[in-house]
Amino acid sequence: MASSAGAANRQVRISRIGGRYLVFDIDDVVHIRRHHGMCAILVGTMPQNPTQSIFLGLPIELYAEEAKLLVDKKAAYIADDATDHLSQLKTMDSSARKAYFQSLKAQRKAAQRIFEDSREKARARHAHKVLKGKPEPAEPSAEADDTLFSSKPSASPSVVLEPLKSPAVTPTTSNLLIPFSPSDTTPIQGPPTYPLYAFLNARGYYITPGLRFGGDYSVYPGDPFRYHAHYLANCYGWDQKIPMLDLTTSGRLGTAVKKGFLFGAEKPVADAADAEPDTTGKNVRVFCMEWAGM
Amino acid sequence: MLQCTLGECPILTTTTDLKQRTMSATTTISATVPGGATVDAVEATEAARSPLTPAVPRPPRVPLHQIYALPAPIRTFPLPTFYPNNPISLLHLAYAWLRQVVSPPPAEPSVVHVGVWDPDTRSVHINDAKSIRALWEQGFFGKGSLSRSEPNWLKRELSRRAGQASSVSEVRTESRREERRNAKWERAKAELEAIEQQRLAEEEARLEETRLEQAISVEAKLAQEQPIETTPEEAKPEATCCLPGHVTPPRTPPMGPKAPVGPAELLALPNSLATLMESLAAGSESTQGLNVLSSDPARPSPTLGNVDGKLADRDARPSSLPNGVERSVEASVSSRPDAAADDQINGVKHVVSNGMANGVVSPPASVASANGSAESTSAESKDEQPLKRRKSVRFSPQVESTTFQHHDPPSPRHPAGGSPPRTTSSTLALANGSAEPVLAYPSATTSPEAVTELVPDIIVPIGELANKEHFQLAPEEAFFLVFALGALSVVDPVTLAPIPTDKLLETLCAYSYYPPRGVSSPLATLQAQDPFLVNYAVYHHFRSLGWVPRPGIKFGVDFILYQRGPVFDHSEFGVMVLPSFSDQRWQQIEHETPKKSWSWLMGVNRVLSHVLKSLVLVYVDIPPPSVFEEAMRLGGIAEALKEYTIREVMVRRFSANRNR
Repeated sequence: MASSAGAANRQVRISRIGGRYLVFDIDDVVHIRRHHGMCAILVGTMPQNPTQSIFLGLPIELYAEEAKLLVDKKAAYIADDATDHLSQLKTMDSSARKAYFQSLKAQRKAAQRIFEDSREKARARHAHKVLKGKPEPAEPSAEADDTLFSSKPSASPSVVLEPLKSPAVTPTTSNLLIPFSPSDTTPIQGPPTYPLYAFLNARGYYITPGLRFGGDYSVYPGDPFRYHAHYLANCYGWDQKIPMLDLTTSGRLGTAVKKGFLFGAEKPVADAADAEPDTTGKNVRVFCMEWAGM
Repeated sequence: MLQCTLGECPILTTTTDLKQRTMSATTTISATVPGGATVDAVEATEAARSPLTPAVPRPPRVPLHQIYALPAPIRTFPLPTFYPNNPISLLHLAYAWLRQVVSPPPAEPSVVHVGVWDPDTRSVHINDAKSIRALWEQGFFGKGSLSRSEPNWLKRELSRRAGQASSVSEVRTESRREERRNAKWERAKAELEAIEQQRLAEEEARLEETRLEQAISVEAKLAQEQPIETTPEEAKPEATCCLPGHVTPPRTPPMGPKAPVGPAELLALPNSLATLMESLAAGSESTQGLNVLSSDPARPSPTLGNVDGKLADRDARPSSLPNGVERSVEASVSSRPDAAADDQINGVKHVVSNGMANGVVSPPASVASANGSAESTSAESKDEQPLKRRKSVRFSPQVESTTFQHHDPPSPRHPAGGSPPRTTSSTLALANGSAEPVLAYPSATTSPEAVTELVPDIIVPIGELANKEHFQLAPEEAFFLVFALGALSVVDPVTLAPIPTDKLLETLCAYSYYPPRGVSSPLATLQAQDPFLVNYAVYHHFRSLGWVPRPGIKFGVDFILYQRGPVFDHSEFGVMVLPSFSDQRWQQIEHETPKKSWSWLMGVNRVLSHVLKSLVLVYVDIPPPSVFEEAMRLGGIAEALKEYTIREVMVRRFSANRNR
């Protein structure tokens, strides 16, 4: 129970870098996917291969509407990474520094323990082998001859068992250096399709961009790992005229790829400025359309 | 990029240019073609192949190129070619010239068709059968109001009533679609069976595991303490419930709530027609049909909550077979405390295998009945070899029938007396109380068989059949016929007086807006950027170059372009008209620029590539108002159209893997 409460109160740190909303912490990524139904997209490449276009890794990039929705739900805060990082590091006092070193040490200790464990296991395996090897010494030597490094003397077990140096830990994240600091409080300007996004997200749908189907979003009934998209969604203005050709295009395409064409709009409210930000899209009306082909 | 000004390409106030450009002008072609004898090229080949050709000799088919010889509803009379080395050709030439001098052919266009402007549908209607055929055969103008394009409703209806097989393109399309639907249903069914098999195999493996664990725990228990004495009466019913002769309770594979994609589930959604009808009926006593629909006692309100509750109920119910196994294990343990562990395991295995044999038969039935569908896949799922699985999207996890007709109701049919295994399964489900027949509609209202049986009774004698179809010309087509060819005169729907060309142009321009702009003040309302004018410039451009542009709304574009016509070939291009205000003077004038998004481009391109067409973006450079008004003052619309410039850009999707 405590863990779920902790998960509910978790504040995701969204770094704004160059106008993009990035999340670097893997725990945060898992958290927003599991609890907020946002997949976002992985955009990180390996340093050795910056032109990589598949199998991307951390960080993930959130769309403006996703970032806005998270902030509106008070589940995340925006950090302007360029300035934030430097100022945080400069103003660090000795206690924070000490805590950071302490955490590094703890990390190293943990790594050391894991390393020791694995070595212990390896040793146990080898001991078993050595015991088995003793009665009939011909077999291990034959095995050794087969291997690439057969020129090595037969004292290989002792070489493996020699104590090694403890591992050096390279910190891969500076999260620990930067405490919770909602530095950037400028409101996020969501795209005009934000109300529909909030509406669908509040109803448990997973949403990915729908450009390849000629719509704003493709909408999944659950995690995209499990389901195909069910809808092809488009957001319009409340009084916007919808061209007939758009309806035929999207309706036809949606049906061709076995999706319904969903379109909706938000009813404008009078006192939108001072009201609480709407994260459920309660003023949104949606319709779904299918190409019948009579 | 191709650039071409309408000023460069000839405006067809006289028809000579079009004649020279597009007509294969060899001889005088009489347009007397037997009406209604038009056929597609595809149709001709199909008829030749089909073994069902009737024995009665048909009238000889007129070749397509003869029927559709004229590319426009006008005729030309060129002189024959003179060959200097062939003196007879001179005689021929002289004869043709003399004949035209003595009896000159009527001035073209010799026939002026009459169309009625219909403001409601924003089209020009043509009711005369001869005009309809002429306009369709000479240039592929217009479409039949009850047909896809060629006005053949009457022919279709006649062939349908005579019971003939496919002879019209719509019928053939329909039969092709039917075939494809059948194939898809078959495939979905095969996939479902494969999944069911996989599920069964997994279930079995899981069962094996639990059984082993239980056997081990039982062993441990036996080793620890004395067996508890139970009476055999207590143990017996539980043990027999797994015997092969007995009916096992329905075993449900663990599943999450189903996505509402099937027809039944869709109907059960909260905003669906059914609930809508119900709320309507509840609110006010409305029409009879609504009442019938909503107050049908056989159809308990299928709402989402209902379905959810049912699903939750099914999920919450423990999987019955493992329980049965457990109990039988206990029973055997308690009744035979002295037996060895091996024997017990054997016994358990026996019981389990029996249970499985039952389970194999019952689970699809139970699942199906829980969902209210009737298809039982038990027979197929018995054989153990895994079926081949293909990747596809399935709309419904339940394959309810392999075929369905157009007139079938969207909800699954559930006949009361089904096939024997189905009956047993449903009674079984009812006996268990696990699944009410929520969606089992006894088709009391309208069964499709009844509908099909009713049709032959209402046969009307063929001679009395009146053509209910009229012909519609799109505004661009009508104006092209009136203005460029002069082969049409559009009359007012009320007074039946012909509308003059400039008045017609104003009307069409006004009606290209929604709601239509006021038509009261003449000429002042005509603007250079009127959607009709922009579209017409494009239409005229392609017609002049010999293409056949036809409305392309079903592909999400403004026009589709045929090289010769719909009966000869498929269209290759979809044309999107984009007004472009590239003139400097437009910057000072307020105007509405088209806002097209990237997603629109991706969507329309994808739609067109599905149907093997290429997207052509046609930018129309619109003259600024001053230039346009000056041209209108000087020479009317013919002069003003010269100010429009047309640029064509073809868009194609590039895929690195495919375009090698």
